[in-house]
Amino acid sequence: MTWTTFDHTGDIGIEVSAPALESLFAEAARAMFEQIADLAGVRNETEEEIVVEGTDPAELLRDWLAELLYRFSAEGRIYADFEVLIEPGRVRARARGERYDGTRHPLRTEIKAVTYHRLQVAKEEAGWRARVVLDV
Amino acid sequence: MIEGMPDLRQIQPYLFEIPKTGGMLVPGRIYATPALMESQKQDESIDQVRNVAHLPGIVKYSMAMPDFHWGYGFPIGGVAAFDAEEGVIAPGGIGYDVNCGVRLVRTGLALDDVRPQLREIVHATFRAVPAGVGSEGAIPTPKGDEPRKIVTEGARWAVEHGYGVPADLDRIEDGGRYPGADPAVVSDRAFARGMRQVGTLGSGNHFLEFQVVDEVYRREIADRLGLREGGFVFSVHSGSRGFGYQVCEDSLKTMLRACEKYGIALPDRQLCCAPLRSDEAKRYVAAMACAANFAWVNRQVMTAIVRRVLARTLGLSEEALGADLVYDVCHNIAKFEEHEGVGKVCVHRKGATRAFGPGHPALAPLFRETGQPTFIPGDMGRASFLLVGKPGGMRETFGSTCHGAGRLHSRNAMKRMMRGHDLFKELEARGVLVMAHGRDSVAEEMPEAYKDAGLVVDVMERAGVSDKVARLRPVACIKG
Repeated sequence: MTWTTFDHTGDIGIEVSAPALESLFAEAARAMFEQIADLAGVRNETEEEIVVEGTDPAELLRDWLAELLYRFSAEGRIYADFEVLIEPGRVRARARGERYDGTRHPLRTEIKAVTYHRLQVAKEEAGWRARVVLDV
Repeated sequence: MIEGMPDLRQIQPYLFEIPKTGGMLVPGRIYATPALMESQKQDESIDQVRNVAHLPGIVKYSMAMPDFHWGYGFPIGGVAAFDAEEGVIAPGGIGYDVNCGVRLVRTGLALDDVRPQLREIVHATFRAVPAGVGSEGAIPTPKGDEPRKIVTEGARWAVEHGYGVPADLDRIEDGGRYPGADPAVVSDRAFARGMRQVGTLGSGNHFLEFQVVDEVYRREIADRLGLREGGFVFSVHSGSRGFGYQVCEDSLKTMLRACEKYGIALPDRQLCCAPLRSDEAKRYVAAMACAANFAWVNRQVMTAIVRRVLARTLGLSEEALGADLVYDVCHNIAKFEEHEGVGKVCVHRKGATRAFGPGHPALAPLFRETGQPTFIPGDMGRASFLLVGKPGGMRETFGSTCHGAGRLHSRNAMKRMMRGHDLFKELEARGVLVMAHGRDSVAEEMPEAYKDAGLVVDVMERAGVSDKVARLRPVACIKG
């Protein structure tokens, strides 16, 4: 499981590889939160169940990330650990973390949105690969 | 001809045309010099101009202003008008930060008057205006009926609540209120995400900058707008914060379904749209209007906070300070306008500015002779410009001009480039005092990241779209 960022002039792209779709979703979430803040100090204090529905894997991944971003920006949640189950037509996940605390979670970038621009989820020989552009 | 781009034709000294091919409904037009064109060769912004030309009901051209660069869906710097009957509206042609915009505020003071207290002013402003990722809490969180009033009334709500004066409203595009806003079509999520953020700057390329009027090109107009050489001014660049981001987010789902429903084929999903006559489009317009109004309240509240900080720090009354709004413009918006030869159209400006020429009825009387002021922020180290719209823009660009310098290097590239630099010291050596919540945001926004705004505004002037009135040089900048 790895992720890297790629250049997109005004925005940030993340590229994720993982052996399975489940780990791909978990790693993409981790990659997005790494853009938002330094996750080193995030404690596992809360666990939330998150369900997102959809059929197309690319759209499902985008919706999953958008749901997490909403919880960060509106509800002040920060997560560093994800356990993902992919079921037919939905993703069911447990996201672990805590309430965001500026003194322990130094912020990096304000992400406005998870875009559909060149959104990609592909099955490859060794597993899965995704590309997502985040609007900053 | 630009090497590697054989189908691009230079049709005027500052204008390139992309011929209509494949599924394009109209040609593309890019305002640029060969050098500016060259700088965008590596990215996909030119393809994005082509893609926009595929959207139903587009009239005349898919355009890009000289600060254009790679966006998502539409290029940043994109302008496109759609027939009000046959055309579409595309939230991606407006952007997540609905009515991100910028305003310029003059003062009755010269830079020399405030220089001894400049550091104190910047520190006090930095403390008073929340900035940075997820910034909130500039004013008590609006409760009860207030959130709905904010998004339906726009800047007037702020003035009525003590943030600014009625005279400000004449100096905001459309009086600071987008008509037809309907909070009933906005999700609870948008309110939850945005309401704590009224009066906050945010992050990214948003800023609050103190400047000096460095050079005046058109004295008569500058006099009318209250600007003279050596004058101390400030500008605010921000948008609709989490409220607008969520309005856009919510709309894209609806628009993707609408494309299937109405059989619209898309070259990029981020261009999803709906026919202007459809319910989907009407609901989006009513929600976008709410976000636009939120943004105006946001900039209006920040302006009031800075006025108070200046008055307090300098020991002046607000009257003596004379901090009058020069103008406030939108960068990311769609508006219904009448244009010669095409009738009623929905003009999308994505990282572009409306710049109506003299005499336009939408302008407050004060600006009917000068043309609409627009304000083009440069980067933190170089100049920004005050422009006015000209008749040429009304004929050629649906009364639109550029919106900034235009990004040249990606955020990641800038962070790599600036590793090991003492950014704050380097900027101070250039005469700009910078305060920011994050080092990364300063690295990403260093002057090297941008094209020279001077080159960009020159293209617009030579193309007859907008005239330079004054050049402004930054002296202090607050970033997220």
